[in-house]
Amino acid sequence: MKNRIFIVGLIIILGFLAIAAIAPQIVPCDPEAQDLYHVLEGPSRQHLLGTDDVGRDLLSRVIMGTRPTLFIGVTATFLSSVIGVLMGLIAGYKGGFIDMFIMRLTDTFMCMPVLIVVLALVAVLGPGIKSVIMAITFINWTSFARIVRGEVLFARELPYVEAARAMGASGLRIIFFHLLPNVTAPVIVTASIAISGNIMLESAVSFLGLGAQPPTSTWGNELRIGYSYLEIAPLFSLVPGALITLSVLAFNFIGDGLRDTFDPRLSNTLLNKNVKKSEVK
Amino acid sequence: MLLKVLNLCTYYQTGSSYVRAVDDISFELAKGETLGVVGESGCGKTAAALSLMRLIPSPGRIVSGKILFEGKDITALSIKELLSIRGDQIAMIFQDPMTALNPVLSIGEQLVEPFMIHRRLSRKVAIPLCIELLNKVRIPDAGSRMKSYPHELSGGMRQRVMIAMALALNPKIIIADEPTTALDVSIQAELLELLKNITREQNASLMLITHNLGIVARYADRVMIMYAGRIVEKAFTLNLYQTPLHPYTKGLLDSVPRLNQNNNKKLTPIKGQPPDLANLPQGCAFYERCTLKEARCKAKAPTLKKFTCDHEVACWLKEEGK
Amino acid sequence: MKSYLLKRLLYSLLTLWLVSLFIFAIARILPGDPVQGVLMASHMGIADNNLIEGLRAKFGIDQPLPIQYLVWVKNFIIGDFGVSIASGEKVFEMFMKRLPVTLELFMGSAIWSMLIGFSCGIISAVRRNSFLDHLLTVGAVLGLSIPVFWEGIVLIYLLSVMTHILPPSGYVPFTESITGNLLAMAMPTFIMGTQGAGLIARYVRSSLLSVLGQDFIRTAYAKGLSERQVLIRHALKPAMIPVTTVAGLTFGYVTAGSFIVEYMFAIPGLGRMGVNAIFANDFPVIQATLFIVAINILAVNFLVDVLYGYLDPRVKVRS
Repeated sequence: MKNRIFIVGLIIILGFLAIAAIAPQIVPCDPEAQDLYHVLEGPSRQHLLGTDDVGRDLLSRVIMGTRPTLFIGVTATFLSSVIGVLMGLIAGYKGGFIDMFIMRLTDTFMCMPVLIVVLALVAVLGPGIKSVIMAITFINWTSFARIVRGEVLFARELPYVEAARAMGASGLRIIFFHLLPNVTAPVIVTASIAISGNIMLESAVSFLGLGAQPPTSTWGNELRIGYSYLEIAPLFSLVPGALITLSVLAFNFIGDGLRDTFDPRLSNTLLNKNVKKSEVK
Repeated sequence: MLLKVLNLCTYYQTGSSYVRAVDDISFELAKGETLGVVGESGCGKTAAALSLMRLIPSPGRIVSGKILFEGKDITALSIKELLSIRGDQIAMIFQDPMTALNPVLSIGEQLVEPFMIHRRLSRKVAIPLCIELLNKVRIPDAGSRMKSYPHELSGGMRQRVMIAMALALNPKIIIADEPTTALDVSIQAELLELLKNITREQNASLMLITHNLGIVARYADRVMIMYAGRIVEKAFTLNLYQTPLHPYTKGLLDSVPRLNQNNNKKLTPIKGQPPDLANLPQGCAFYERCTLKEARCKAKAPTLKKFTCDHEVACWLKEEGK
Repeated sequence: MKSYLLKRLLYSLLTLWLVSLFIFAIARILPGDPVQGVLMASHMGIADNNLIEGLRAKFGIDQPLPIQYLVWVKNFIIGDFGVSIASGEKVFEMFMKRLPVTLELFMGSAIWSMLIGFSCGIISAVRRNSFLDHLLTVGAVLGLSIPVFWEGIVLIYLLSVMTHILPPSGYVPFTESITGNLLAMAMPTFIMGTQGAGLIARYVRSSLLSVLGQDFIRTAYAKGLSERQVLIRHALKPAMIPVTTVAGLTFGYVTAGSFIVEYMFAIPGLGRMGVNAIFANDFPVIQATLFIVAINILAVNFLVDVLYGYLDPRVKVRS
């Protein structure tokens, strides 16, 4: 069951990636070409999904929108995983005050309303793709840091790490050669789930008008404009929304599948935390 | 006969292959009798015990055979009838008292259940009965212990609670699955004495499952030895110890130290591993490890045959009554 | 138990302090001078230096930053959240006015997400690997994956545009018309609770499954309890203990949802206030919103710890 779901997710994502890669070649019309005589039209042979408010071909816009949407989701996740992994490694390996400081920092970030913080940061940095990526990265690294720290605390006590230390390996060497490999599986699982969350976040920011700026087409942007014409041209907002949902769902499927195959311990991360908490003897 | 098991087969289905946890076993249990069931871990003794109460967890199930309890076939009972037997007529004591008690319910909460479910007593009426039970299994300060949670008790105390819970409604059969394996040796004897005394008092039958031959020698009236899901030998305890017939039984007896034996006699462990129950080889399951194997042992598996009037064995070498 | 809770409380307070520093910083680096904003709004952007200085003093932004921070914290504690730059209203009063609306949404979505989440999770676990289980599991992931705004659009299209069952947006106060209020709140409540429901269903399922595999469940069956009795008397309580920890996470989802949902459906609650404040660079309002949400999340997490200790007798011993 889980495997089948994983494969379905993978196929969807590979499909999106393929579309993103060859988007300019497969668009049926010029996504920027306006046609003010044919605005907000329903599906026709010329425009399979109809046209938007300035007569651009919706299908072409949506196909082009695959690029920034996936780009933002993946890049933000990659950057936050890099920062989060580093922070987690340092916190877990060094312990003491640094650990305490980083962990309280993650606590702080975790009790903030993510959307509002991202919106505020984007407002500070000025709307645009770069700002959205930076803002998401800023708030998103904490979950990676927490998971990596937990794994490092566990791995640090493993005999082979102690042996390496006893043989005089340097701290950096231990971190990168002995601890880092241990955390790859949980980080990949977390990342695939984080991508889905970040795509959703990016779309929300775009939906509120602070994401990538026109004329760049992202699914969230199409959705925002289309929403105003829901009664006249429902496909204008329903289609990009469906694509967002599909990609979020696919990444969640992949994350679930990976979690089950990679590391059964993780599938109950929260449960495990509490088992430890309640261990008596 | 109180309990009569006929050709019971319990298999676990994994994909397309079967794990034959219990493979065609038959035995009887008389009123007031203690039957010892002995075997290595994974030989199907726990599966056999769970089958008696139809507690086999999925994907396992009873494939064929009959379990006649007072003439009624347990395998054919409706759920309702089954529930009225479980815990009331037949009770079970599990191996690990650490995990077999619910960690978030107090001892009292767990003890009153049999009374409330089977006797429809109110909690108020049941509580004094429970305290009496706890006294019977010699738990000090029983009244206040009712409010304790399992983690607040020692392992031995917890197993006493398990025993009290099983004995609550004077069941006719008590199945004790390795009741003392998880406990300190010093407490084992005390608990077994307690179990034995109470079952005798209530004239209940006891099915004592263990891998410890010493325990069986001391407490069981009859013994059956299981290997790879089958019964390989069945006899009165004394007979079995004096004249073990099956090579496996002999091997078991030779691999435990005994005080009354000549110190010069070497202990000889049984070589090899028990076979994979999902892939049983043709012929006798003990063939690979047997010191007396012959060609015919590989060809066909022996069945349990009477050797003397109350001593049965499944071995070709004993077939002719040598 | 007491020292355990005390420790949690101290951690929460420490976190709260860091949160306050962070919020203070974020609002101070927002672009655009708030004074300029007011001038644009009320004086057509024309002003002399005196007016500017006066406004700067009024918002307290003529002071050095540490002083500003201390004043801000002090005021916050006594319930003075400052004055909105955009509207000139007291933030505390704006907040109190909108609280009941958001509270109704929160209560409604919490109730429905728990109702759906718990029942689906329990059914899934009890009938595991059945067709129904697979269906509910996929449903739960779907619930977690549907972006709030798209769910909103689909529902508005189906229930308002196509069938006119529910109003597409707007808010009717409870005091004005009870049915009107309920009709207006139905869709937003449903949408805000969806992600929580999916999350709870997943956790309840996995937690209950791990409990149902434990030895004490077999003991309960051996005692003669029926499946229903085992579930209710033995399995649910230990299964619910770990689920309490997702309450904080669920609260986070619901909060995030409220910002978009209130914005979409034009519901005059705290979420809409927060989003509008971002658009208007209204930093006192942004600060108050962030701070209140953070306090609530911390409070929820602390309550979870308390509840945890109450539900699980093993925690008491530990401390």
